[in-house]
Amino acid sequence: MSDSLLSRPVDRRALLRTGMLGALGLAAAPALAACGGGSAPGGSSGSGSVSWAAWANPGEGERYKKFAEELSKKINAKVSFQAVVGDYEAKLLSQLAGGAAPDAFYVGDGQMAKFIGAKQVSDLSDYLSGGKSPVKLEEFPEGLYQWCKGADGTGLYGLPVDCNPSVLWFNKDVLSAAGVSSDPAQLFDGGTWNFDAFTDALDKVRGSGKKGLILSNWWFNWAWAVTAFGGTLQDESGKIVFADDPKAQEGLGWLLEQFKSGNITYAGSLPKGQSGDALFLAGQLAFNNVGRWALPTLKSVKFGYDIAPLPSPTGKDIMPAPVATAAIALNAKAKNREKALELIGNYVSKEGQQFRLSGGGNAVASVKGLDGLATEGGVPAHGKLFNEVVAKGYAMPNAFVSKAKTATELPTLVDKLFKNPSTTAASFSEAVSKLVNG
Amino acid sequence: MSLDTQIRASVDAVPAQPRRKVSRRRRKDTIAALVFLSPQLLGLIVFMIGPLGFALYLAFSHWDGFGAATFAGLSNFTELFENPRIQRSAINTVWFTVLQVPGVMITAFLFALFMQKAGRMTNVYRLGFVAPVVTSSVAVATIWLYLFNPEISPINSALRSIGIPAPNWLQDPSFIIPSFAVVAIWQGLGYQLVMFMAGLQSIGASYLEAAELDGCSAWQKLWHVTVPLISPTILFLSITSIIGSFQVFDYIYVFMDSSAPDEARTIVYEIVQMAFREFNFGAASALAFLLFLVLLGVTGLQMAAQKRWVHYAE
Amino acid sequence: MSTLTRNIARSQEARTRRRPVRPGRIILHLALAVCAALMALPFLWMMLSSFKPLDEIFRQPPTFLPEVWTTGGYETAFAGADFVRGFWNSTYIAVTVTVISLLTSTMAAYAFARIDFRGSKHLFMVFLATMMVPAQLTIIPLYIIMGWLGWIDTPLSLIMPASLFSAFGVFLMRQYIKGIPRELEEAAELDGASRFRVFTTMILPLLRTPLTALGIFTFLGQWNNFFGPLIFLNSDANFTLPLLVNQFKGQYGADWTSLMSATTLVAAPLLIIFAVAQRQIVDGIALSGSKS
Repeated sequence: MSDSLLSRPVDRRALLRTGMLGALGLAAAPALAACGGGSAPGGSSGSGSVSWAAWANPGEGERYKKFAEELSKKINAKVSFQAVVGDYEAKLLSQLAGGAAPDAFYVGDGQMAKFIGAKQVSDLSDYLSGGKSPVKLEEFPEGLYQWCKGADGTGLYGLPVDCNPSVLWFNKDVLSAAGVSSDPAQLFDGGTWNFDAFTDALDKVRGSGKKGLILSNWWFNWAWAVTAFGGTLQDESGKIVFADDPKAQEGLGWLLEQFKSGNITYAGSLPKGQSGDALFLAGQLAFNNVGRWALPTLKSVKFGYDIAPLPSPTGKDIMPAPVATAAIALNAKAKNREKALELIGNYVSKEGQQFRLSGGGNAVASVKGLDGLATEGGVPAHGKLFNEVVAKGYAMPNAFVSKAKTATELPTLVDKLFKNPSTTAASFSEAVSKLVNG
Repeated sequence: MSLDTQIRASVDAVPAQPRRKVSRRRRKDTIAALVFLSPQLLGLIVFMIGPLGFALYLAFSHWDGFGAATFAGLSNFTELFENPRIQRSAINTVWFTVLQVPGVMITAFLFALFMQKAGRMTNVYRLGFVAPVVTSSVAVATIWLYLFNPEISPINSALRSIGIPAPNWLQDPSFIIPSFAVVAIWQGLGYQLVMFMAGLQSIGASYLEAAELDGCSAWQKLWHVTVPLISPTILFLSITSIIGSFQVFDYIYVFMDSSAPDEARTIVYEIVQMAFREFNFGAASALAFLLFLVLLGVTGLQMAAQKRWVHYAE
Repeated sequence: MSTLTRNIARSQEARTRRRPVRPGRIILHLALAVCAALMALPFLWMMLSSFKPLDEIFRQPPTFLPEVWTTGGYETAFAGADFVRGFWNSTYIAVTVTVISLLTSTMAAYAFARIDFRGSKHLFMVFLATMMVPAQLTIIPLYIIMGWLGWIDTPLSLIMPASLFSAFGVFLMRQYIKGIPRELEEAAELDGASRFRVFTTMILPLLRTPLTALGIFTFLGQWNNFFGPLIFLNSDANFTLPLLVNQFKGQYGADWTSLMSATTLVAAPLLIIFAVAQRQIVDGIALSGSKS
């Protein structure tokens, strides 16, 4: 036995040796290259470059890169964009801990309060009111940036980059097949789009065997039950008060009843905004409660669709509705503050948003005066409603996100409440208020 | 009578070594060991020990990821023990492991045995089993969110058509963890299958045929020849599979994002939530440390027990 | 002549005789075929869906084969991300890690399995122990270390840790080395061969099967690795394939057609490589000879 092993043909050994050397060579090459290059980590090095990070799908990514090119010329610095394609918080926190975070970055609503408290982001109000800024505070609808203020209400630590209001997309074919004679947009134009009409439509759809509406535990999908009935979500101090508001109770009661009757299905805790997608695209769902981001995918479906705002008690008003938004903030340790501020200013100015958002079709501008974006291409037919909802809408209430722990606990609590068939408007309000008001 | 003893008997025994040679041998051994170990040791020290030490330090501190860390003593640990959600997550994790580990191993082993007789079709079948292993978590999420969607899933319609009530996989509390286990078994089967097949194929065919000619039944062959000879593989898969199972995270995250209900959460999910969403690195590290201790204990038990049932050919 | 050697000779005789096809074998093949098909079905569905237009993907009742074969998904996928670049990045990292880690793991495994040095058992437990800490926890200090080394946003940040340190690989190879009878090496050492020679000429060739298996799965692991590249890479020119694919998932909704196409694009090369490498495993067994 031992003979046959030791007397192997020589070339096999030689092959192995060459293989090992080759592998070592492969590994050595980049090491040598790195030694020579000495590239700087993450953020900008020196006064000439500035960078920002955001999440982006390919279409947006392309747009951002072009924006970076244009901006480089304008502010005379090398502007670069870092796309973050997954767990945004983990990456940002790693970069911040390592001192290698970009000069500006997106911040989601669940994280802003913490970043402000930990002094990781800088106050932008001086820049905004100064002469150099291409955008002024007044250009932003007030409801969109309250969550970017400091804990005591002063300062502004982020600017909304764009937004998406909570509206009802509907499938015209499903509705007419169910016997709903005028679609919701028509009803709204006619001044009769109230909750009775909505319930009626849902009943009919259920009767025809299709699903009416699917909601998840994201605040975007249920907070309108409070405000669309005319109730108040929070008072001036930011405290959540809908537990004591009869209109809010009426709204929540209505919502819970729809769950019970099967008109509205609670889909559980699913990735954000994806609860009804598959079904709506399959033409099995009458309504989908999402923002404008649904537009690009819908362009290729074969059924007729349009949008309507959430119903109102009067049938003709637009009530305050949730608006999903994110902000861009300035890294407190940015190496090149001046240029970074210019980046931010130009990012959210009218010109900047026009450049970033046109053609993509998946958001609404967060500054006033860019109504044309939402009606681009004439699709959906009632696109102008997007702007009107944003004007009256509200971003995430401060109480929901002022503590990081609350922000993560709230959706889980709502999930539990919606899954429990014995939840009432009162018990829901009490549980939520207890959690967020502390 | 074990076969390897029979083989040993037929090879000349190695003569004993004189004393001086032994101690020189020892030194040569240690140097040789160092040389062979050096790359991995380097990696261990640079990329593991430092971060692990840091994590250990955090377990006894309060740190939010930004400012300075303050000493916390054992408070992170006591908070964890008193937290009912953490307790639930621990139970979920154990339940997932109980379902998944034996599930994959037994099926993979059985299939590996069957595949021994598959002849020329082996490669084709094996490709089918391995297909799930190459799907990334995005693809897994895409596919299984569709398959678990109670409204439009083909699985649910198939079940309904034969009269079995189709569960709401991801929303029904008693089905969530089993659903994750199904996906994990689906993804892990091909990998363990390949490992078992590699192990089975490195058993010399003559062992089995000699046993057969000796008059052993199929069951005896399996139990007294095959299993002992691949017991090193079994031990390896069992240890790594339990370690991996206890750390399950990806599935919960891709299916439920950051707001998974209590019935779906696992230990590592909690760790990630506490660290990156709640900015509580101290608690996250403390929990990771506890997980580590549990795994150390479980692995230690398995390593100790290996003297009883694992046969190395030496 | 012992019973054993007589039986071995007899069995070799038996092997050369032709075997008739038994009905049990047909059932076996059927069962295997069905199971393999079921396992591959979800993946197949995804692959076929990448050729469907959007409204067909979610249609009720679902279709399996596309009614109309469209390449729209692939067009948008290619337009949206530089897959060629990503393919190069992924391949480069995966191959380098696989080659180097196989070598370093086997070397370390040899030390643990064969050399009786002080602290061997304890060091091995340390190796095992590192597998018990979730990666998410050590990412921040690791990021800081990478920052010091200047490797952020370079492939090195992904290659070096994985090549130089792989408790998993060390564990696996140790098990296999322990399964090799010692007598052969001891005879060679008596003849004066150094440990290194013994390692390269005797041990490595016998490990062909587990090396191939470990190599395949290391490659797979690197190819599909998402978290590491996500954290350490900033510029999209450096992105690996899983990052490019995840872009199509989007913040609020997914671009389904492109997503299906992209994931198929990323998974297909792996399957092809595996299909091809499978044969190597089989050939490798045949050539390396029996071990008894």
